[in-house]
Order: sequence, then structure tokens, then C-alpha cells
Amino acid sequence: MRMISKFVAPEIIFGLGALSQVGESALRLGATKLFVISDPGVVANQWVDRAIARLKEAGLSFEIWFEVTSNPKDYEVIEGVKRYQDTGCDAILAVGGGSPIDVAKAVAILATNGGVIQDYEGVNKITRPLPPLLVVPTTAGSGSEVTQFAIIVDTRRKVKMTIISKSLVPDIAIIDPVVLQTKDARLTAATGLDALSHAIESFVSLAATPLTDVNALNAIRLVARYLRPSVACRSNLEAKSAMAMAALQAGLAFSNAILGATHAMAHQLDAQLDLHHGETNAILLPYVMEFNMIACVEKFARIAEAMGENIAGLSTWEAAERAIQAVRRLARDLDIPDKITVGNLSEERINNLAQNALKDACIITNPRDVTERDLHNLFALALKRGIQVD
Amino acid sequence: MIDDKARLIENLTGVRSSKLNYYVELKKRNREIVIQNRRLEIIHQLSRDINIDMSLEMIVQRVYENLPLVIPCDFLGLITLEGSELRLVATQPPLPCNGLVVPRNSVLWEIIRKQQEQVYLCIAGDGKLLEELPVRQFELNCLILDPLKVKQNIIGMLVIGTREKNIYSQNDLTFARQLADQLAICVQNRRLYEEVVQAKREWEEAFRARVQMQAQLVQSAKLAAIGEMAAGVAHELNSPMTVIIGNAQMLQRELVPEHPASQLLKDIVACGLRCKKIIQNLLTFARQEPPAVAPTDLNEVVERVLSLVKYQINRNGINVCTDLAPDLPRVAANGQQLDQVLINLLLNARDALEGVERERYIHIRTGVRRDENGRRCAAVTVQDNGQGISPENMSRVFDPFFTTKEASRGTGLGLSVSLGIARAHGGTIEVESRPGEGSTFTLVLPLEEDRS
Repeated sequence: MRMISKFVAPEIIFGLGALSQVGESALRLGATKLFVISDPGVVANQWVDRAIARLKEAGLSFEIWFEVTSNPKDYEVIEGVKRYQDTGCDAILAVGGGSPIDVAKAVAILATNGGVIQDYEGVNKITRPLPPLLVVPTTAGSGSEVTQFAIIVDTRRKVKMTIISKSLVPDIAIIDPVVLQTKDARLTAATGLDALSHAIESFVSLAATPLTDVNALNAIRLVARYLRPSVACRSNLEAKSAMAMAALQAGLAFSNAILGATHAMAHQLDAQLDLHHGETNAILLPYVMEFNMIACVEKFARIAEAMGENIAGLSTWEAAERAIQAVRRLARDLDIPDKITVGNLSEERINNLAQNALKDACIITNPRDVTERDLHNLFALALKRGIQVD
Repeated sequence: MIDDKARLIENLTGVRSSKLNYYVELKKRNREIVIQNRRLEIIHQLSRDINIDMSLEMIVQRVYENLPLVIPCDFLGLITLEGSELRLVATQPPLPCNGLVVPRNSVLWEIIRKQQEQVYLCIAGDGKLLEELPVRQFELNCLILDPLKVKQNIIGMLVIGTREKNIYSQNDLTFARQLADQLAICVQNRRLYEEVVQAKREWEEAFRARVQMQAQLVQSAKLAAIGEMAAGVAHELNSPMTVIIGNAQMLQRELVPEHPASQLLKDIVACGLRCKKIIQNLLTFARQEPPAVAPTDLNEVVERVLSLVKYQINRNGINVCTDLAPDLPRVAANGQQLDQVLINLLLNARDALEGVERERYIHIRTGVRRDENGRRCAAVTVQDNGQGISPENMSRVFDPFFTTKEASRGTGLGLSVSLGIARAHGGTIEVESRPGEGSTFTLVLPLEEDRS
């Protein structure tokens, strides 16, 4: 048990219509020209246009760049830094899901620290302050708007690099549930389950603290109660607000308590197969929970309670199992498959996935000690092999 | 393993990592800018000092005043490449070893030889280093060695040293490089300045010599004209002299020896013959022919020359005495040229005696002696008891156009031409003099048997 812990969070502006605070916030950070990073989907929804209108109102100039894909790649970062420097910007605004925010963090690193993004893989490799960073998340899931993480794909090695540093915690996170309305059902479901996996993994993490626990448990409660209505109805602003808060609290929890095996494994699959990160997590989570249960039965029982399960009169063990069932049921209700379907995945590739997952920073805080063999078995369980052919 | 995991978790979440702060960075940058400003000041000061005729010691001292504010520095040294030597020319704090030559096996020479321009970081005490530099004296631990380069050529080296260990950053090295570049310009400009001053001095000297030479050339042209005229006159005198002698001899034959006029006629014939002889010698001397070398008796040269100039010398109240070695071996020489040398020595002796109150004499000796190389030589010595030569002029008496005589009398060419003749014969002219007591000039010529 650690005697001293630390909790880091950005300034957070939360609420319906919070997007209107973008210009003022940028001014407070001392920005004069913002590098606005987004992705084509968000630009199409006009959230970027609204953000820019606020920048204009505040008398700020800007440069827009939105060539970011999901699972952001190292070469995109190179392009972004070049654009940032060529256009003489002095602050960064990311509008979008986890990908544009992670790219924004990576661009910020290279803008003041130089080098290539691979230089910063790992923990605490950043030596200089980053340019002011504002983020406006448009999905409720990644938590990147409040975390000290950035995940970038090294396209040569085909791995997701995890970059961890307190410097990556954005300066200001502006969270406006209104923007969640434009997400389709599938994306809403996937990102919501991503937030759930963040909350559950950080709750059982070896580095969990009372401050992270409170955030994690509340996030679990909110997801269990509001994800279904949020997926079901786009315009349900109550559900959207709750999911935005869930994603935020899950982010605060895992940024400070870190994650576990689910994410260590998901990072590998995403990088190798370019899958949707939220969905991958949703599928892997129950398998990892089953594996981890013996390490923290009590906590699992509390998860079950938070998920709204009636555990009265149950043994701790039975209650803990209810947590796993509840996660499975939620995924099923949202049409998330219970296996990952890929074509002809060889034994060798699974070995490779297991080896890389063992090196992922997230594995360190997994509540149960993990071996390469354990990871191999978990991958084997979650992958429905040989059914679909490439 | 467990500790390792705890440490990793601590890294991920713990209190030791922190968000880097712009204000801290700003303060750091401000400090750097202040240092950078001081550095620029130093470089600016250097570029200003170039204009002043400032010694290298002064320049190094000025740089050292501010240097420790911007770079760890307990010692500053300037080494210059002079010809084939590396020399420590200025240090701060000042050292008595200024001017010290850097030994060939030093690491400094290695850098110069490789013509490498980048800055070197040396850690003191690593064997190769630098006993020649005051590393020990100042207990230096780190040294920056920075070659001074001007247009592809290394002209020296800047040495910055400190007692601190492993202290120099990349930033420091960059600054050292800039400082060295500026200093290289300083050193080079100083050199050019010195060269200009030197060239000016030489030019002025050459100009003065040229003016003097021109005057003397006019004078020698005049002398040549007079000489030619004298030869003509001598030639013209030959015929009347023949008539005088012939007529006197005819009269002599007609007179009995007891006749009172007989003695007078005898004197007329003798004087006539003597005149003829003088005329003959003068014509021989004046004749411009390529020098012919023949066995020459120095005693005869003395006799011949005396017949030309003895009268003049005697007329000045100077006593000429000779002490000629009998059986003097002959030397292979051009008689006429030796005549010229001896006439010169005699006339110089005569002039040196002018205004001398005591009884004046010129003493001519011949003899055999050994020269400084041990060769057997014949020598003619002309000694006078005149005014002598002052010590400051001793080294210049053989310089062309050097003369202490008034313009109407000397050309300053006599001794220089004479030395030329002596050298052409494989010999030399030695000179000894005591101011107020007199001078001795000796023409030394190697004997024939030894010349091969």
C-alpha cells in the first residue's frame, strides 16, 4: 500500500454549451495563433467551425489540420509538427475523439522537445514544457482529454507506443455533451464501453487510490445506467451528459491509477489489425476480468454493485462473478460481439502479440501478476480464429 | 522483481514526475539569455579591441575579466603558431612561462597537424595531456582546446580551463568556438598590423639609402670622369717626358762628368724616369681590362703603389715606413686589383690621420700567416696611428656607401670594393681599430700552393 499518492488533472470546463468557452480559454493560455487538430468526421459535423467561430470572436488566428486517422500513426505526427512549425502557431487546440487529441499531444511534444515521437515512448521522457494545449472531446470514452497518456502507432514496428508524462495532461479540457449527439450508435457504444474498461481497470489497478476509486466507481455507475439510453437515442441530452461525465471521471481515474491487461492487449490488436479501440476493449474486458478476479474479489463485488446488480445475500465470490456477467450483458445489449473475428491468425502472431503486451506499460498495474503464457491464453480465448478469411 | 514493479508504478503515478512549468522554463531561458548577452558583450569587446594597437596579453586580460561570468573558467591561455613553433604567448592569471614553446609530442600539436577545427574537450590527467600547460599549477580538471583558424590555416589555439569536473556543456563549446573565431581575427589583425609597421620601417630605410646612393653615384661618376681625364693627361705627359729625358741624356753624353751641370742633368734624367714610371703605373692602374691572374709578389705591389701615392702621403707630413718580408711567396692574383686595394687602404689611412696632432705614421708590413681556417696566407698590413673607428661603425665599414668622410671626399665604396676583390681572390680583409689610437687593415690572401 502506498503512503503517498498524487492526482493530476487539467482545468476542466464541463457543461451543455461549454464549447463556447474555447476562445476565452485560449486567450487565458496566452495563445495568439492556434493549431487546430481534428479529423474529417468532426469537421463534417461542424463542431470545428463552431470552435473556430469562437476563436475568431476572441481575436485569435489559427491554422486547421484534420488529416488524422483512428489509431493515429507516427507519420501523421511528423506531418503535424511540420505544419505547426511552418505556420508559426503557439498553441494547440484538439477537437475530436482520442485520435486527434493524442496526435495533438504528440505534436506538442515534438514542437518544443524535437526529435521523433519514438524518442518519448515510455515514462517521463519529456524534458521541456509543451505549448499550451486545449482539448474538446467529441466522444465520451477515450478520456485522453484529461490523461497523461498518448498512444501513437509506430508503423514500422506495428506497435502502439505508450507515451506517459504529466506534461501530457492538457492545460484545459472543454467537455460539452452537446457535441456527443452527432455520434452514431455503434461509435457511442464502443466509446462508452471503452470508458467502462478504463473505469474498471483503474478501479482494480495496483496504483488505485481513494481519489481514483471515487471517480472510477462513479464512472461505472453512470455507464451502467446511461450507456444504453445514450446509444438508443441521439438526442437524449441527459444520457449524453451522464456519459460525458462518465468518460471524464474514468479518464481522471485511469490517468492517475493507470490501467491493466485489457489495455495492454488491446493496444497490440489495434496496432496490428487497425481495430476500433473501444470495441476491442469491450470484447477483451470480460476475459481479463475472469483472469483477474482471484486478485481482487472484493473490488469486483463493488463493481457489480455499481453496475446495479442486486448482490444482497450473495457471497463476495458470487457478487464478483455478477460484475463480469453485467459487463457481458451490457456488451450484448449494445451488439458488441463476444469474440474478435480475424482471419487466419497464426500461432506465431499470437505469441508476438503476447510478447508485446507484456512490454506495455499498462501491464504493470494489472492486479494479478501476468506471464506471457497467461496473455497467450487470453488472446486465444478472445480471438475467434480461422472463421473469417482475409 | 517486486521492487522493480513498485518502482515502475511509482514512475507512472508518483510524486517524482511532474508537469513541466512554463514559468520555470521562462526563468531558465532568461538566465540563459543573460549569459548569452554577456557572451556577446565579450565578443563585441574583442571586435572593438582589434582596432586598438593592443598587445595579446592585454586582449587575453580583457577577455578574462568577464569570461568566468559566462563559462566556467579558472585559466585562459593563448597559443600562437610561429613558423614551426607553438608558443604560449599570453595567460590569465599571468604566468612567468609566457613564451614557452609547446613540445612536439603534445596533444596540441596533434590537433594542429590534423587541421581539425572543432573544439576539444580534454580531461586533465589522462596521460597524453599537457604537462607543458599549467594544468597542475592551477589544478585544472577540464580544458577546452579550440584551434584559431583563419582561412583554412590554423594560426594558434585558445585554451580555457577550469578546476571543476565534467562541467562544459554543448552551449559552452559553441561559445568557445565563437570566441576563438573572434580571437583568431584579433591575432591575425595584430600580425598584419605589425607587418605593415615593419614594412613601413623597411621602406623608409630603403628610401633613405636610395637618396644617399644617388648622391654617391653622382660623386663616383664625377670621380670616374676625373680618373679618365687624369689617364689622358698622363698619356699626354708621356711624349714631352720622353723628349725631356732624351734631350737631357744627349746633353749628358756631351758633357764631361766633371762639368758642374753634369749633376743637374743626372737629376733631370732620374726625375724624368721617375715621372715616366709614375705615368706608366697610373696608366696600368687606369686601364680597364678583365682581371688577369698571375703569380704576384705582394712586395712588388707595395712598391708599385707607394710610387704612386707616397709623395702625396709624405706631403701631408705622414711618415710611411715599410717592413717587407723577404722571400715572400707569390700569390695568384690580379696585380692591378691588388694595387687598387692597397691604394685604398693607404688613402684611408692618410685620411684617418688628418687633424691628428701627434707624429703621424703609416706602417706597411708584409708576411706569411695562417688565417682562421688554418690556411697559409700572404698578408699586407696597413697600420696607422690615426683617429680610429668608433665601435658603432665597426660593423658597417664594409657596407657599400658607408662613409664618415665629408661628401666631397669619400664615396663609401672603397672598402666595400676592396673586400669584394679580396673575396674574389679567396681571401679577406681584417680590421682592428681603437678609437683615438689608430686602425690596422690587413689584406689576407691564401697562398697559391693551398688554393685548389
